Amino acid sequence: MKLLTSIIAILGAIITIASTIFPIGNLTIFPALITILCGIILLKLHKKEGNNILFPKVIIGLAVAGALISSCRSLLTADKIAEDQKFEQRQEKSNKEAVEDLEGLE
Amino acid sequence: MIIKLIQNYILALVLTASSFSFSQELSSKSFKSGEHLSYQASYNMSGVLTTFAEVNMKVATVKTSKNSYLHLKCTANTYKKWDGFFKIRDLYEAYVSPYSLKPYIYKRDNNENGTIRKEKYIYKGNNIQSTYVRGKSGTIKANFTIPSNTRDIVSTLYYIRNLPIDKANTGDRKDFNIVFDRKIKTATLTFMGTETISTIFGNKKCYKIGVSVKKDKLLKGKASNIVYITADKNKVPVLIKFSIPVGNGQLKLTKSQNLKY
Repeated sequence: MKLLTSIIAILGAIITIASTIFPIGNLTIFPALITILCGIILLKLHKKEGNNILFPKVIIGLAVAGALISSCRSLLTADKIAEDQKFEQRQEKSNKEAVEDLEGLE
Repeated sequence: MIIKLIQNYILALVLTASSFSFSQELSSKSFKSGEHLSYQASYNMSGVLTTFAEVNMKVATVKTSKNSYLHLKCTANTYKKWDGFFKIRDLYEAYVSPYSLKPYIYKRDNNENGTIRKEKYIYKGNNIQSTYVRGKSGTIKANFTIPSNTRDIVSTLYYIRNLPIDKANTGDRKDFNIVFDRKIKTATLTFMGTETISTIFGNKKCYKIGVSVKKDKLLKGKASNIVYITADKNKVPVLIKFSIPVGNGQLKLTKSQNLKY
């Protein structure tokens, strides 16, 4: 039980931290919640056995930090498209070619 | 997967343009040159909608020495935040008659994370003179025959917006042909009645249309792909919900300019 919870907590923490890199916004909350839950279970188990509680504390801390970073990023990052001159040029070129093709059809 | 999503967004948009039991005569035009519609594309991951791209649809007038045409342009751009992971710059366009909306040229120029795909169809009656470029394989030229009333996806969308959807009855179905990727796809549209939904125009009564494509792995399914078109003279597609084997998503209208009415 303790080993399984520890493995899930470590995996959850890794996924949470990795998710902060990607622009997937609030989705990071799911692995973070699982990690926090496992962290709390581990904290209780460690306290019950009188062991050092640093590991569950670190796990919970990482999950909370990951969730906060992702949430802040999604709040602060607006949904905007970048100005892309190459794409604009492609569109203009395409239009010019099409006009030539239309002239050819007439 | 994102490439397919973008394609299906556009395809779903276009397929909405089907005709049910409508006559093939155009009613009054529901759009004008200068119209600009902007959509936000999002994908549903574990119940959370994650936005990833913007789709723009513009109508402009193009003049040659003898005639004028309508230029129907659809672009898809991933948001800045996604560009570092998967950058999409897609262009779909059609040049049509401003009177009958008959297509003369269809062009597609996709750049999806560096993968180039270009396509050009020149309509000559029931024949299409096509030019196709994919990656570094060079240009392939081919001519093929299409059934009458077959259109490309862009001109179909605008054509459908001009059909009298208000005369369709709930449950009406119609198969129609659309040329995409040099293949003729048969799509079935089902008129599912009207529904009032929240849009950028406020709560709006919309026509609800189910879309499915025969022999298509992505857009099959009966009523899982739904397009909402405003039940007014503009017939603006305001919301497209789609379902594919790996999930579902939506395309929502976020901005509109120069609507005709």
